[in-house]
Amino acid sequence: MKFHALNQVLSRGVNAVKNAVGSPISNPIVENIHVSCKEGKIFFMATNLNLTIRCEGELEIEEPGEIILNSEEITKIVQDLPLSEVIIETEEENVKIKCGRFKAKIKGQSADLFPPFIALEEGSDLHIENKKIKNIIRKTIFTTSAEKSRYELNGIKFHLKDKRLNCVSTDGRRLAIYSIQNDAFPSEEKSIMIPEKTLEEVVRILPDEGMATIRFGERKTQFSSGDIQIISNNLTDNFPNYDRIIPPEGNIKIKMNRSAFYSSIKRASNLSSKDTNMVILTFEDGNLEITAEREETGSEGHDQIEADYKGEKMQVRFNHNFIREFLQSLEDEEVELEMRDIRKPCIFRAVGENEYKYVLMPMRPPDEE
Amino acid sequence: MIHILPPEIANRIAAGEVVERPASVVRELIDNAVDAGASRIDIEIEKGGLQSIRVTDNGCGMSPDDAALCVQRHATSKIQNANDLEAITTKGFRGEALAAISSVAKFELKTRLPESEWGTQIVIEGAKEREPSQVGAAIGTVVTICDLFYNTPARRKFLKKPATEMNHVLSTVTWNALAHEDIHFTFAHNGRRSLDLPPVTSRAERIQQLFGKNILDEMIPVQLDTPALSLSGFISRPTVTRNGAQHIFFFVNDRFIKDRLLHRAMMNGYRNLIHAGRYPVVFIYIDIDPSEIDINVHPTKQEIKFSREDAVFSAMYGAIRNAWDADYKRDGLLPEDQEPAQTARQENHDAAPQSAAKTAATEKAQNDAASPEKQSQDQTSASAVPPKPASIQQLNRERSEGKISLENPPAPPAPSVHPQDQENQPNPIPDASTEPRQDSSAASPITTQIEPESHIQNTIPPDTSANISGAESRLPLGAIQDLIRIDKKTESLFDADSLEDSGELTVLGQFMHSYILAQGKDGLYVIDQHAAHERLLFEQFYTQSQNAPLASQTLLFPITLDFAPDEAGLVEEITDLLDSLGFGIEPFGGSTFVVRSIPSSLSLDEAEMFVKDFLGEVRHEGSASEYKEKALHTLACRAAVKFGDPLSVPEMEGIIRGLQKIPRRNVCPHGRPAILFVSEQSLQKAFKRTGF
Repeated sequence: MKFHALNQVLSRGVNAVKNAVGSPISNPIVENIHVSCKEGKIFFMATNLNLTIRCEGELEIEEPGEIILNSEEITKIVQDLPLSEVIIETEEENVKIKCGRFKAKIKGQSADLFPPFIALEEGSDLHIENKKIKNIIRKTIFTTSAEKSRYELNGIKFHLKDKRLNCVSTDGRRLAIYSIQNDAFPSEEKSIMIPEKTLEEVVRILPDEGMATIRFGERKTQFSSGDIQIISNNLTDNFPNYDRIIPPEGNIKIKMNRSAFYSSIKRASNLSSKDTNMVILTFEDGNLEITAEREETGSEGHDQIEADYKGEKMQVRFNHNFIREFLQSLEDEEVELEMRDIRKPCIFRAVGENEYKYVLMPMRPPDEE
Repeated sequence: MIHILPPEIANRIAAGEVVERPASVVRELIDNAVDAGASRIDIEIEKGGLQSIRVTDNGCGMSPDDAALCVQRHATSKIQNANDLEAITTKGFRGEALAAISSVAKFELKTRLPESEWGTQIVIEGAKEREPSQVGAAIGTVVTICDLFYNTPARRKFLKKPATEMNHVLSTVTWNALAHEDIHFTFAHNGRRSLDLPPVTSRAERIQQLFGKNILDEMIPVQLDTPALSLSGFISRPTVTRNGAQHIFFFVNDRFIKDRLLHRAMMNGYRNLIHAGRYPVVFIYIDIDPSEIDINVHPTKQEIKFSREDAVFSAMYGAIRNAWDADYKRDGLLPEDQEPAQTARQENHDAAPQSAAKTAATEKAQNDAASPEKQSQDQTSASAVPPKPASIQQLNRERSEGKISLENPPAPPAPSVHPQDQENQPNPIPDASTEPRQDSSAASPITTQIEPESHIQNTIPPDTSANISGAESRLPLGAIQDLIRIDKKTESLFDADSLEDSGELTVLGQFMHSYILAQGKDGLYVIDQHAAHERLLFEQFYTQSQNAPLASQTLLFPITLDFAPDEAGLVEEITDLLDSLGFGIEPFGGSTFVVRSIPSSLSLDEAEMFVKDFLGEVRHEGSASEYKEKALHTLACRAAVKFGDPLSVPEMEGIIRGLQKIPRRNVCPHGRPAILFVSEQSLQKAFKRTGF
């Protein structure tokens, strides 16, 4: 194998696939990045057997071929190459790299035993803008559960039904749902759990411009956009019935300025109990008071912001992290809290936003036995 | 061929139950002496009691007829009919002790009624009784036993070395002495008198006679009166532990008892305060209606049955927990008592600034003395001290004037333990600690090494070893000597501390991301961040959970938990308890439960694990409050900062400030120390900057 390539082609390819590199514990060979050249294209591929990423680039090939290279070594070499054309030549397992006046010789391995890239042949295809899918994932990924034994919650549920795609995630205390309707979506029903890690890569690798195709297969899902393919095993779908979790419309609706609310919560969080992370939101006549107490140290903090609330004084307790993370994911100016009862799940959303909802369960009120 | 055994063989068989070893003989004879109303009992043994045992009392004695009868089996004056067995008020009741003893040893009994001119002598050898004879004798009864088990070689073979048997005898004497502080006990082994305990008016004094005055320094009084029973005594602070249960003394109606129920209740009182496998030092006296107990469980009369076990259990547990609370109040942890404590502290420093050791001891004594007045006046008069602390000079002056006795008087009665003398004494405890410095050279290395240490409250003044050797009326037994050395941490630079006297603490920094270093008024404090924080959280959770359920996060959708069928019932039983911890859990048919809310400090997994683990603990034993503490402990452990967590200065200050507000702060819930202190003085000494 011998090829000439721009150094950006190499670094883009290596960077795209590097997070899919597997752990040597499961299978030493997946610790490598697979590099192959054919028909004027170079392909970088890495897999940890659950997640496979392939990225292609264009270049001038003198001699096609394939090899696998230690991912850590090649990633570092490629990162620090001078801005110049790179020439890579292999002879058996010896790899020569030339770039400007830099020369290196490294050892590769035969690619024979590397798991081959197998594109997903069958499935329901869904076309969506990169920008959109990345936004959907960003706004739902932070509510996935990190608890390993709750693997059914370790990802985002993609639920396609009646040409509507619902992306839902929950960790048991809060739930985020992004729901989009598109007549071009396939009409069959599909329900798939995609692991968090895969979606992180989707957000990271997919360019902001362009369209993505999501192919929902039986056991795998494939994201493709341009010269990038991401294939991931689906998680077992034991996701709770989210329709029943999302509360009906509430009669209490309170609008607040997002950045004021965010800053205020953040200030209070510095003084809330590290154990419970509790903040108390007290709504009263156009005003929201945010209170935190850290019983460990006897510290406490109070802050106030405007809120268009009218009615009896109402006190709700929340884990401040859950509010903060939601507010952080938004760019909108105003947010709305919608609720029925201080014991029932409530909904946060950006004002005017109909596609995205954040359902949050308050903490148990103190008077409730 | 089946036939009835002749009485001498039957007695010998019965003796196997009653008389296991010399200590059993001593026990039976002391019981008889106590029942005879003796005010003085002398116990002398030779070669661990294997060669001879003599118990002399000045009790009521017996008439010649009674003397002849008493060695018969089932002959007793102590009960008349079966009803008496229902409410035994005497130590003995079985009527077989003397018969049993005389069947396995050479036996001689001399007794005289106060009104008689002559006494009676009974001699039995090899179960053959000689005619009672008239002899000269002192009022009371003397029983002499020689060659125990001479005719039962099998039993004799199982006896241990004389030293071991002596220890058993000594333990027996100790128990009785603890139970009857109004009786003068003496004990001699091989002609050497090692115990001389003149009668005293309080149990505290008797405890001090036996174990040294300092023993009460690290103990707090307990007192509880319920309609069913009255309980009093002393328990050691959690920093004072032993690795065995040998220093746990329970007395029921003045009888030493080994009882699992009492033991468990007591240990529950120490739960989360001392490390598993460690035991406190405890003296507990229970007075209960004799009809509520059954002592006729075992011939050794050390086992007991309570008709109302629950009441006994909760009394014991409650008394100990109350004692902690009272103790913390006394330590100034509760606002109303804070003022006096600080004043006392101030006075101490003013009065004797050069001797922090003494002020600490004085203060401790004051503390100890303060609450017993509320709790149990008669128990603690020994440790009662006048409010004004004394300087060393004062003490020395008073001592030389004869107001203060040596700690271990060679001959009874010991003035230092007499309450009337005590009224004039500034403080028996500083007295004790002053003593060795007067006698042994003030420049001796031990003393100098120790002095800065005794600055620390938990430390007992350094004189203990010196006192042991000079002790006439002190137990010579190794096992008990190490009790005297209770909490003797005098050799180490660092000492467990509880921030009592630390003043304002300034955080100096964090060491190894694991220890908080802080500067206090008199030295350096090293705080185990995990242990301290765990304790802090535990106390917070505990306090919070007393008032309201812990902060609880309701779940969007319930998680279901499956239990084994036998667990399901348990879960239902503890639903309320779980609720107070922040778990909303409901039955969901069969042995499945749904969890609707969890403590906000736990993740779903942790919550699930917690319930399951917790259930495992609940299965074993214990009361609801015990479960709850276990549960809170688990919660605290999970939520506390870990060893190796970097902490910011405000966080460290937060932990310290929190600690200063809570009781039991000097140990983590596992019982490990959480705070160590090194005084400036001990550092100076270690660097040889001072000429102590």
